[in-house]
Amino acid sequence: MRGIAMPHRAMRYLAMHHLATHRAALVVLALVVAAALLAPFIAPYDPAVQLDIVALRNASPSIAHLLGTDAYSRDILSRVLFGARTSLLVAFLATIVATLLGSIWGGIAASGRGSVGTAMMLLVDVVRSVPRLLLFLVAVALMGALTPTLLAILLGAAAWPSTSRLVFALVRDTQSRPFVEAARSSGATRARVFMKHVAPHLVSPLTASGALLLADVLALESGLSFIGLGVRAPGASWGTMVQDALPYLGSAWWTAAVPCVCLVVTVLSAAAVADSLRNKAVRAETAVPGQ
Amino acid sequence: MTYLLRRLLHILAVVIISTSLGFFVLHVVPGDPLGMSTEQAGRSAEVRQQLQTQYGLDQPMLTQYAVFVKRAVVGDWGNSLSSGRPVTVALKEALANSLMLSGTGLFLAVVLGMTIGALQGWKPNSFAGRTLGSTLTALYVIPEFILAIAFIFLFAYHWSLFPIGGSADPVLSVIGSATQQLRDRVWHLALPAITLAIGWGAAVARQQRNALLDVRGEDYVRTARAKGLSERMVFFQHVLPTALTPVVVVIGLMLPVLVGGAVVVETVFAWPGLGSLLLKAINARDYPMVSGAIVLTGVVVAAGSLLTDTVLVALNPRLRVASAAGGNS
Repeated sequence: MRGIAMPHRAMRYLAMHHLATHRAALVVLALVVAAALLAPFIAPYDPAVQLDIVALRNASPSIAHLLGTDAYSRDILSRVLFGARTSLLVAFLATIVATLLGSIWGGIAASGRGSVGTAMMLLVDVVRSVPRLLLFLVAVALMGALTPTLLAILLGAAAWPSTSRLVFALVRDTQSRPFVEAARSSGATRARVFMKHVAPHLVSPLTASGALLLADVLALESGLSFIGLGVRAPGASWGTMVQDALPYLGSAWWTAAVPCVCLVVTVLSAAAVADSLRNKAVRAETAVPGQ
Repeated sequence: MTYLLRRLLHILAVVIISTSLGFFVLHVVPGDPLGMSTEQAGRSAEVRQQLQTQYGLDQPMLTQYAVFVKRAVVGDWGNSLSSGRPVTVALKEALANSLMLSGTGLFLAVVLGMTIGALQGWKPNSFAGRTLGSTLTALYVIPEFILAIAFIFLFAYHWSLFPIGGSADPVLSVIGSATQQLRDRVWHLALPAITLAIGWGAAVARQQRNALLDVRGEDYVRTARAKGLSERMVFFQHVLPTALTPVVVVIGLMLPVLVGGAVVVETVFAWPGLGSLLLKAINARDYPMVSGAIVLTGVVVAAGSLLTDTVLVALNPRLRVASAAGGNS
C-alpha cells in the first residue's frame, strides 16, 4: 500500500474534515454525467447550428439563450451540454484504457520472475521519461483530425505507465502477505492465487487512482483541445469552446467563462471523489491485521 | 559510483530510444513538408525537386535516419524547411525564451511550494494547514490554461495591469534604454510565470507535505523528541532532510518542463518559446526543426534525471550502500 498510501494519521484528519465535501463532489459529478447523457433531450438547440450570425453573434445571456451565444451564433448552453459528452467520453475511455493496460502490464511484471519483471518495469521507465506533452504534440498533430475515441486511446496510452507502477507495487506487496503464502502452500495454482487472493486487493486502490486519472485526463484533453490538437470543429469539447472564445475575452467574456467553469467544477469534483475513494482504500487496508 | 553509472546508461538508453521514436513517427506519418502552407502551394515541380534534393528528402528513410544521428551528434540541424532559417539559431532563440519563462516559474514554484508544504506538513491540523491543503489540491488539478485565461481576463483586460501576451514590447526592445527594456521584460514575464508557478508549486507543496507527514511518524523522530530536542531541532535536523528526498524527485521530474512543457501557457500568452515553436514546426512537417527540438528536449530531460540522481545520492546514503552491495536501487 505504500505506493499510494498517505500516512494514516493524515488520512484520518482528511477523512473527518472532507466528508461533506466528498458527498457534494459525488453529487456534482453525477449531475454532470447525467447532463452529458441527456444532452440530446435537454439541449434547447442543435449545438453545431449557427442560428443567426448577424443578430445572435456573441449575444449575452437571455431567456431564449440562457448562457448566451458564441461568436458563430451557436447556443452556448447546448454546446456545453454536448461538450460534456465529448469531454467525459474521452476522459472515461482514456481512464479505462490506461487502467486496463497498466494493470495487465504491472500485474504480469510483478508476478513474473525477477529479470522479466525488471525488464518490463524498465520499459515503463522509458515510456514515462518521454515528456507526455511532447508525445502528444508529435502524435496528435501528425495524425491530423482525431476522433474522440482515437484521442481517448492516445491519452490512455500515455497514462498507463503510472498505473502499471502502482499495480506492480501493490501486487508485490500483497504477494508477500501471509495469506497469499498460506494459499500457495495449500496447493492453489498461481492463477487462482492471483484471481482469488491478490486481485481483490487491487480493486479499491485502482478505483481511487482511476478517479484521479479521470480528473487528470479531463484537464489534459481540454488543454490539448484548447491549443487545437484535440477535438476539432464542428464537434465541441469544453477545451475547444474555450479556444473559440479566447479572442472575445474582452468583449464577450461569458463565452469563455461558461466552459471554463464547467471544466473547473468537473475536474475538482473528480479529484475530490478520488480523494475520498483513496481514504476508503487506505482505511480498508489498514483494517487488515498484521500488515 | 556504480549507482550513478547505471543511471547514466539507463538515461542514455532512454534518450536514444525516445529521440529515434520521434524521428520515425514524424517521417512515417503523412504530410508533405514542402507543400503544407499556402505560400508553398504554388511551387513548380522544378523548385520542389531542387528542394527535395537539397534537404535529402528523396533519400531512403534509413539514410535520412543516419543523417539525423550525425546531425544530433554534431548539433547542427541545417536550415528550416518552412522558413529557410538555420534551425540552431531559431532553437537558441526559443530556448532562451522558454528557459526564462519556465525557469522563473519553476524557481517560484519550488520556493513557494516547499515553504507552503513545510508549513502544512508540520501543522496539518491547524486551520491554515487545512485551508492551504484544499486550496492547493484545487490549484493542482485545475487546467493551467484556465488559470492563464482568468489572469488575462482580470489583470490584463479588466484592470490593465499587465500585457495580454508576448515577451517584450517590440518598439522598446529596439529603442528603449537598458533599464526600460529590463522592466518591460519583467512586466511581460509576470503573468505567465505566475501561472506556471501556481500549478507546479501546488505539486511541490503536496509532495513536501505528504513526505513530512510520512516522516514525522517514524521511530527515530520520536527518539529525537525523547532525547529532549526542541521541536525546531527535530524538524530541521531529523524530519526535513529525509522528507526532502521525494521532493527532489518531483522537482527533477519537472525539469523537462523547462523545454516545451509550458506549451499551453506559451500559447495562451503568445510567448515565443520552444513549445510554440515545436507546435508550429510539427504542423508544417518541418523535419529538421522538429528533429532538433526533440533531441534538445531529450538531452535536457536526461540532464535533469542525472542531476536528480546525483542530488539523491548526496541526500540519501542508503543508495550508495545499496549500489556498493550490488543491490537493486
